[in-house]
Amino acid sequence: MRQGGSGQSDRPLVLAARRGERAAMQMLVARDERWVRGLIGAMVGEADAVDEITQQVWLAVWQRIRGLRDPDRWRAWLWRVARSVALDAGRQNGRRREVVGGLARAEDVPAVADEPGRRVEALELHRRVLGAVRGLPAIYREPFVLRHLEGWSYRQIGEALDLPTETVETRLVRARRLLREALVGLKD
Amino acid sequence: MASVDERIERLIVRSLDGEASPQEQAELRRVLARDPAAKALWHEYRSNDAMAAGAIERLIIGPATARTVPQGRRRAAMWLGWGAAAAVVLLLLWPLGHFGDAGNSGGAAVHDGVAGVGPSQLVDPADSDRGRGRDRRDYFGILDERNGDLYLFQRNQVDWRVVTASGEL
Repeated sequence: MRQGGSGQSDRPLVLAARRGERAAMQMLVARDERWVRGLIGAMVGEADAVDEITQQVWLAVWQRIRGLRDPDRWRAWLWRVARSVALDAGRQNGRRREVVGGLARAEDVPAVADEPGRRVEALELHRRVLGAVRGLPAIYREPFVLRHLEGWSYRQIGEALDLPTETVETRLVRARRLLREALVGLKD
Repeated sequence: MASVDERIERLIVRSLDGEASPQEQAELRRVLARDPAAKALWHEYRSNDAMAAGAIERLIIGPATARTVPQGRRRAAMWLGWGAAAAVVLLLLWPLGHFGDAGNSGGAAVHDGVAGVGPSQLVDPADSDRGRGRDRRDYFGILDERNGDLYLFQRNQVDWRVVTASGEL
């Protein structure tokens, strides 16, 4: 059975949350918020939007968890819900929000030096890297983000994305190739 | 850059991802030692991975996290914030004996409900950051429209807690 990030099985927690136990839901949020947030972040790219969508995701999960049939597939179910909520939110926000497209704001970039020139360079690097990751097709971006944000194995990524391990590997190879093309010349 | 055999590329990726077996690692070491193109690709992928990981991490835990409470939920959070502020006032005045028995019971009820939740963080998390440099926002709220409960998720790096508007912890 799949193990949570702490090494414990999710099954008892998922069953408890499905019965409406809030403490169990809280623990699931604690375990899984980070990677869900990471995937949403790589989809929408803007921290404020990530916050709003993440809230909507957990509310949707709480409202729908009674419909989760197989507790052993919790993460795959969770990401299906999260992806659906994020796509809906993106469509709703499309008319009123200019998509920033993962472009970093100056305050989000770590201060690498006091010199303005270095900071501008860091901002540009940050912006281009995020843009390149966001520019990956979702089927490559999602395993790539999970691998780099959580350090998950191919098996764990496959469980969350409902993919065979071999497919995860193939997509990660392809993601590296696409990212390399997108970042050509960046380090020169 | 010269092209690298797809099998070697896959080996490089498996190695970077910690999925390569000891035999595969040994094979990769031999390939990298004799093939400059493969070695360059390995360095490039490793460098790109590091940059991407940093950018993704920064995006999700950056200083702008949990900044916004959607408009519909902000009203509920504001009422909760006022309740917390009232609780704080009551608690401060409590030792001074400014309240009789009626004040006693009222203060306790509010205290049990929401004291300890900083109103400024709830109503406008951005305000709470003023004067604290680049501190992260620590709360975000989820309003459960089925029962009116507002769940406050407190993020402090490793764990969270949930507080409901009804005061249940």
